[in-house]
Amino acid sequence: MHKLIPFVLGAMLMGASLPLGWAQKIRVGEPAPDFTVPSLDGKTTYRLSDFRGRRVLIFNWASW
Amino acid sequence: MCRAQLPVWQKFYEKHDHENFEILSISMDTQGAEVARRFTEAAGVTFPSAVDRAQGLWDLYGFPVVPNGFFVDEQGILRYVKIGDFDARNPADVTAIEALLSAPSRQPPPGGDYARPLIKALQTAQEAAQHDPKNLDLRMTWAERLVENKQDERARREFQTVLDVNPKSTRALVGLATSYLDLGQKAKALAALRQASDLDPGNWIIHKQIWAIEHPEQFYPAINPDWQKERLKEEGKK
Repeated sequence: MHKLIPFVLGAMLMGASLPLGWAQKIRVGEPAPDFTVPSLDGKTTYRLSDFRGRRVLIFNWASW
Repeated sequence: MCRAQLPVWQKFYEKHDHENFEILSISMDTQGAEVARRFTEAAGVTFPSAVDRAQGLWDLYGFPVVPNGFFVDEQGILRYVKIGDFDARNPADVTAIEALLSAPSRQPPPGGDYARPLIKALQTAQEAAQHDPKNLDLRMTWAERLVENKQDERARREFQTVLDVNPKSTRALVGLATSYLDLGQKAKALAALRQASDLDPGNWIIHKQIWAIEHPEQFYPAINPDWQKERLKEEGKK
Protein backbone atom coordinates (compact mmCIF):
# COMPACT_ATOMS: atom_id res chain seq x y z
CA MET A 1 0.00 0.00 0.00
CA HIS A 2 2.73 2.45 0.97
CA LYS A 3 4.51 1.87 -2.33
CA LEU A 4 1.38 2.99 -4.11
CA ILE A 5 1.20 6.34 -2.40
CA PRO A 6 3.67 8.25 -4.61
CA PHE A 7 1.75 7.09 -7.67
CA VAL A 8 -1.57 8.15 -6.24
CA LEU A 9 -0.15 11.53 -5.24
CA GLY A 10 1.51 11.83 -8.63
CA ALA A 11 -1.84 11.27 -10.31
CA MET A 12 -3.42 13.94 -8.12
CA LEU A 13 -0.67 16.40 -8.86
CA MET A 14 -1.74 16.13 -12.49
CA GLY A 15 -5.31 16.56 -11.31
CA ALA A 16 -6.52 13.03 -11.83
CA SER A 17 -7.93 10.86 -9.08
CA LEU A 18 -8.76 10.40 -5.44
CA PRO A 19 -6.83 8.09 -3.12
CA LEU A 20 -7.95 4.53 -2.51
CA GLY A 21 -10.00 3.81 0.54
CA TRP A 22 -11.26 7.34 0.82
CA ALA A 23 -14.80 7.83 2.16
CA GLN A 24 -16.99 10.75 1.21
CA LYS A 25 -19.12 11.87 4.14
CA ILE A 26 -21.69 13.97 2.27
CA ARG A 27 -24.35 13.24 -0.34
CA VAL A 28 -26.33 15.25 -2.88
CA GLY A 29 -29.93 15.60 -1.67
CA GLU A 30 -28.94 15.63 2.00
CA PRO A 31 -28.53 18.69 4.25
CA ALA A 32 -25.10 20.32 4.03
CA PRO A 33 -23.42 19.87 7.45
CA ASP A 34 -23.20 23.24 9.17
CA PHE A 35 -19.83 24.83 9.94
CA THR A 36 -18.27 28.12 11.04
CA VAL A 37 -15.14 29.51 9.39
CA PRO A 38 -13.26 32.77 10.01
CA SER A 39 -13.15 35.40 7.27
CA LEU A 40 -9.87 36.09 5.51
CA ASP A 41 -9.68 39.60 6.98
CA GLY A 42 -9.55 37.96 10.43
CA LYS A 43 -12.40 40.09 11.75
CA THR A 44 -15.55 37.97 11.49
CA THR A 45 -16.80 34.44 10.98
CA TYR A 46 -19.16 32.91 8.43
CA ARG A 47 -21.64 30.22 9.35
CA LEU A 48 -23.16 28.22 6.52
CA SER A 49 -26.64 28.16 8.09
CA ASP A 50 -26.66 31.98 8.11
CA PHE A 51 -26.88 31.78 4.30
CA ARG A 52 -30.24 29.95 4.51
CA GLY A 53 -32.66 31.39 1.93
CA ARG A 54 -29.84 31.96 -0.54
CA ARG A 55 -28.10 29.64 -2.96
CA VAL A 56 -24.44 29.19 -2.11
CA LEU A 57 -21.50 27.78 -4.02
CA ILE A 58 -18.77 26.72 -1.62
CA PHE A 59 -15.45 26.90 -3.45
CA ASN A 60 -12.77 25.07 -1.59
CA TRP A 61 -9.15 25.88 -2.50
CA ALA A 62 -5.64 26.46 -1.13
CA SER A 63 -2.79 28.84 -1.91
CA TRP A 64 -0.39 26.00 -2.65
CA MET B 1 -3.44 25.31 -9.08
CA CYS B 2 -6.57 26.38 -7.26
CA ARG B 3 -5.59 29.99 -6.77
CA ALA B 4 -5.63 30.69 -10.52
CA GLN B 5 -9.39 30.08 -10.42
CA LEU B 6 -10.15 33.03 -8.15
CA PRO B 7 -10.45 35.72 -10.86
CA VAL B 8 -12.60 33.36 -12.95
CA TRP B 9 -15.01 32.79 -10.06
CA GLN B 10 -15.10 36.55 -9.47
CA LYS B 11 -16.34 37.06 -13.04
CA PHE B 12 -18.91 34.29 -12.56
CA TYR B 13 -20.04 35.98 -9.34
CA GLU B 14 -20.47 39.35 -11.05
CA LYS B 15 -22.58 37.67 -13.72
CA HIS B 16 -24.87 35.83 -11.25
CA ASP B 17 -24.85 37.65 -7.92
CA HIS B 18 -28.29 39.20 -8.58
CA GLU B 19 -29.77 35.67 -8.87
CA ASN B 20 -30.09 35.06 -5.13
CA PHE B 21 -26.62 33.59 -5.19
CA GLU B 22 -23.48 33.80 -3.10
CA ILE B 23 -20.04 32.27 -3.39
CA LEU B 24 -18.31 31.34 -0.15
CA SER B 25 -14.67 30.57 -0.82
CA ILE B 26 -12.80 28.61 1.81
CA SER B 27 -9.06 28.14 1.65
CA MET B 28 -7.50 25.13 3.39
CA ASP B 29 -4.30 26.97 4.28
CA THR B 30 -3.00 25.73 7.62
CA GLN B 31 -0.61 28.69 7.65
CA GLY B 32 -3.55 31.04 8.05
CA ALA B 33 -5.60 33.75 6.40
CA GLU B 34 -2.69 35.97 5.42
CA VAL B 35 -1.18 33.61 2.88
CA ALA B 36 -4.60 33.08 1.22
CA ARG B 37 -5.65 36.72 1.36
CA ARG B 38 -2.80 37.75 -0.91
CA PHE B 39 -4.44 35.81 -3.71
CA THR B 40 -8.06 36.86 -3.13
CA GLU B 41 -6.93 40.49 -3.02
CA ALA B 42 -4.88 40.15 -6.19
CA ALA B 43 -7.92 38.60 -7.91
CA GLY B 44 -10.21 41.43 -6.73
CA VAL B 45 -12.53 38.96 -5.00
CA THR B 46 -15.69 40.52 -3.52
CA PHE B 47 -17.51 37.35 -2.42
CA PRO B 48 -17.26 36.12 1.19
CA SER B 49 -13.94 34.36 1.72
CA ALA B 50 -12.77 32.34 4.67
CA VAL B 51 -10.03 29.98 5.83
CA ASP B 52 -10.24 26.54 7.43
CA ARG B 53 -6.79 26.27 8.97
CA ALA B 54 -7.29 23.24 11.17
CA GLN B 55 -9.32 21.58 8.45
CA GLY B 56 -12.46 21.01 10.49
CA LEU B 57 -14.37 21.17 7.21
CA TRP B 58 -12.26 18.50 5.59
CA ASP B 59 -13.03 16.30 8.59
CA LEU B 60 -16.76 17.12 8.47
CA TYR B 61 -17.26 16.76 4.71
CA GLY B 62 -14.55 14.17 4.16
CA PHE B 63 -12.30 15.25 1.35
CA PRO B 64 -8.56 14.59 0.97
CA VAL B 65 -7.92 17.03 -1.91
CA VAL B 66 -8.72 20.49 -3.26
CA PRO B 67 -10.21 22.19 -5.29
CA ASN B 68 -13.78 21.20 -4.48
CA GLY B 69 -17.22 22.65 -5.24
CA PHE B 70 -20.41 22.26 -3.18
CA PHE B 71 -23.71 23.85 -4.16
CA VAL B 72 -26.21 24.40 -1.34
CA ASP B 73 -29.80 25.43 -2.10
CA GLU B 74 -32.10 27.88 -0.29
CA GLN B 75 -33.10 25.16 2.20
CA GLY B 76 -29.53 24.17 2.99
CA ILE B 77 -29.64 20.97 0.92
CA LEU B 78 -26.59 19.88 -1.10
CA ARG B 79 -27.44 19.94 -4.82
CA TYR B 80 -23.96 19.44 -6.27
CA VAL B 81 -20.75 17.93 -4.95
CA LYS B 82 -17.47 17.71 -6.79
CA ILE B 83 -14.42 16.63 -4.84
CA GLY B 84 -11.11 17.25 -6.60
CA ASP B 85 -10.63 19.02 -9.91
CA PHE B 86 -13.55 21.40 -9.48
CA ASP B 87 -12.57 24.16 -11.88
CA ALA B 88 -14.02 27.50 -13.00
CA ARG B 89 -12.23 26.98 -16.31
CA ASN B 90 -13.88 23.62 -16.93
CA PRO B 91 -17.07 24.20 -19.00
CA ALA B 92 -18.75 21.08 -17.51
CA ASP B 93 -18.37 22.38 -13.94
CA VAL B 94 -19.58 25.88 -14.86
CA THR B 95 -22.56 24.47 -16.79
CA ALA B 96 -23.56 22.34 -13.80
CA ILE B 97 -23.64 25.37 -11.51
CA GLU B 98 -25.43 27.53 -14.08
CA ALA B 99 -28.09 24.81 -14.53
CA LEU B 100 -28.78 24.98 -10.79
CA LEU B 101 -28.96 28.78 -10.95
CA SER B 102 -31.42 28.69 -13.86
CA ALA B 103 -34.18 27.54 -11.48
CA PRO B 104 -36.25 30.50 -10.26
CA SER B 105 -35.28 31.68 -6.80
CA ARG B 106 -36.66 34.50 -4.72
CA GLN B 107 -34.33 36.80 -2.84
CA PRO B 108 -34.91 36.53 0.93
CA PRO B 109 -35.94 39.70 2.76
CA PRO B 110 -32.98 42.04 3.28
CA GLY B 111 -31.20 42.24 6.59
CA GLY B 112 -29.64 38.80 6.60
CA ASP B 113 -26.01 39.16 7.56
CA TYR B 114 -23.62 36.24 7.19
CA ALA B 115 -20.75 37.74 9.14
CA ARG B 116 -20.63 37.30 12.90
CA PRO B 117 -18.05 38.73 15.30
CA LEU B 118 -15.16 36.34 16.05
CA ILE B 119 -15.67 36.64 19.78
CA LYS B 120 -19.32 35.57 19.50
CA ALA B 121 -18.40 32.43 17.59
CA LEU B 122 -15.80 31.71 20.30
CA GLN B 123 -18.38 32.11 23.08
CA THR B 124 -20.86 29.81 21.30
CA ALA B 125 -18.19 27.15 20.75
CA GLN B 126 -16.94 27.43 24.33
CA GLU B 127 -20.44 27.03 25.79
CA ALA B 128 -21.10 23.99 23.60
CA ALA B 129 -17.79 22.37 24.58
CA GLN B 130 -18.24 23.03 28.29
CA HIS B 131 -21.81 21.77 28.21
CA ASP B 132 -20.59 18.42 26.83
CA PRO B 133 -16.97 18.11 28.02
CA LYS B 134 -16.45 14.57 26.72
CA ASN B 135 -17.37 15.51 23.14
CA LEU B 136 -14.02 15.81 21.39
CA ASP B 137 -15.46 17.34 18.20
CA LEU B 138 -16.94 20.22 20.20
CA ARG B 139 -13.64 20.65 22.03
CA MET B 140 -11.73 20.87 18.75
CA THR B 141 -14.23 23.36 17.35
CA TRP B 142 -13.69 25.46 20.47
CA ALA B 143 -9.91 25.15 20.11
CA GLU B 144 -10.16 26.27 16.45
CA ARG B 145 -12.13 29.35 17.53
CA LEU B 146 -9.46 30.04 20.18
CA VAL B 147 -6.80 30.07 17.44
CA GLU B 148 -8.86 32.55 15.42
CA ASN B 149 -9.10 34.77 18.47
CA LYS B 150 -5.32 34.58 18.86
CA GLN B 151 -5.52 32.60 22.11
CA ASP B 152 -3.01 30.13 20.77
CA GLU B 153 -1.53 28.88 24.03
CA ARG B 154 -4.99 28.01 25.34
CA ALA B 155 -5.87 26.42 21.99
CA ARG B 156 -2.68 24.35 22.06
CA ARG B 157 -3.66 22.93 25.44
CA GLU B 158 -7.16 22.06 24.22
CA PHE B 159 -5.84 20.28 21.12
CA GLN B 160 -3.38 18.42 23.38
CA THR B 161 -6.24 17.35 25.68
CA VAL B 162 -8.01 15.85 22.66
CA LEU B 163 -4.81 14.07 21.62
CA ASP B 164 -4.35 12.66 25.14
CA VAL B 165 -7.71 10.91 24.69
CA ASN B 166 -7.39 10.17 20.98
CA PRO B 167 -3.76 10.28 19.81
CA LYS B 168 -4.88 9.39 16.27
CA SER B 169 -7.03 12.46 15.72
CA THR B 170 -5.57 14.03 12.57
CA ARG B 171 -7.82 17.06 13.02
CA ALA B 172 -6.37 17.68 16.50
CA LEU B 173 -2.83 17.25 15.16
CA VAL B 174 -3.42 19.77 12.36
CA GLY B 175 -5.06 22.08 14.90
CA LEU B 176 -2.05 21.70 17.19
CA ALA B 177 0.14 22.65 14.21
CA THR B 178 -1.84 25.87 13.65
CA SER B 179 -1.30 26.94 17.26
CA TYR B 180 2.41 26.12 17.05
CA LEU B 181 2.74 28.10 13.81
CA ASP B 182 1.16 31.14 15.48
CA LEU B 183 3.41 30.70 18.51
CA GLY B 184 6.42 30.77 16.17
CA GLN B 185 7.34 27.10 16.75
CA LYS B 186 7.67 25.92 13.18
CA ALA B 187 9.57 22.69 13.95
CA LYS B 188 6.87 21.54 16.37
CA ALA B 189 4.17 22.49 13.87
CA LEU B 190 5.85 20.41 11.17
CA ALA B 191 6.27 17.47 13.56
CA ALA B 192 2.53 17.51 14.30
CA LEU B 193 1.68 17.75 10.60
CA ARG B 194 4.01 14.86 9.75
CA GLN B 195 2.34 12.78 12.44
CA ALA B 196 -1.06 13.61 10.90
CA SER B 197 0.25 12.76 7.44
CA ASP B 198 1.57 9.38 8.65
CA LEU B 199 -1.85 8.57 10.12
CA ASP B 200 -3.64 9.60 6.93
CA PRO B 201 -1.14 9.03 4.10
CA GLY B 202 -3.76 9.49 1.37
CA ASN B 203 -4.51 13.01 2.55
CA TRP B 204 -3.04 15.21 -0.12
CA ILE B 205 -4.03 18.42 1.67
CA ILE B 206 -1.80 17.71 4.67
CA HIS B 207 0.97 16.36 2.47
CA LYS B 208 1.13 19.46 0.30
CA GLN B 209 0.73 21.77 3.27
CA ILE B 210 3.93 20.33 4.75
CA TRP B 211 5.73 21.03 1.47
CA ALA B 212 4.53 24.63 1.41
CA ILE B 213 5.70 25.26 4.98
CA GLU B 214 9.06 23.54 4.45
CA HIS B 215 9.75 25.07 1.03
CA PRO B 216 7.78 28.29 0.65
CA GLU B 217 10.10 29.38 -2.19
CA GLN B 218 8.61 26.59 -4.37
CA PHE B 219 5.06 27.91 -3.86
CA TYR B 220 5.27 31.68 -3.44
CA PRO B 221 5.15 33.81 -5.47
CA ALA B 222 4.98 31.10 -8.18
CA ILE B 223 4.22 27.39 -7.92
CA ASN B 224 6.98 25.15 -9.27
CA PRO B 225 5.39 21.93 -10.61
CA ASP B 226 8.79 20.46 -11.60
CA TRP B 227 9.95 20.67 -7.99
CA GLN B 228 6.83 18.80 -6.92
CA LYS B 229 7.44 16.03 -9.45
CA GLU B 230 11.04 15.68 -8.25
CA ARG B 231 9.91 15.62 -4.66
CA LEU B 232 7.40 12.86 -5.37
CA LYS B 233 10.12 10.79 -7.04
CA GLU B 234 12.38 11.22 -4.00
CA GLU B 235 9.60 10.30 -1.60
CA GLY B 236 8.87 7.23 -3.71
CA LYS B 237 12.47 6.04 -3.26
CA LYS B 238 12.30 6.21 0.53
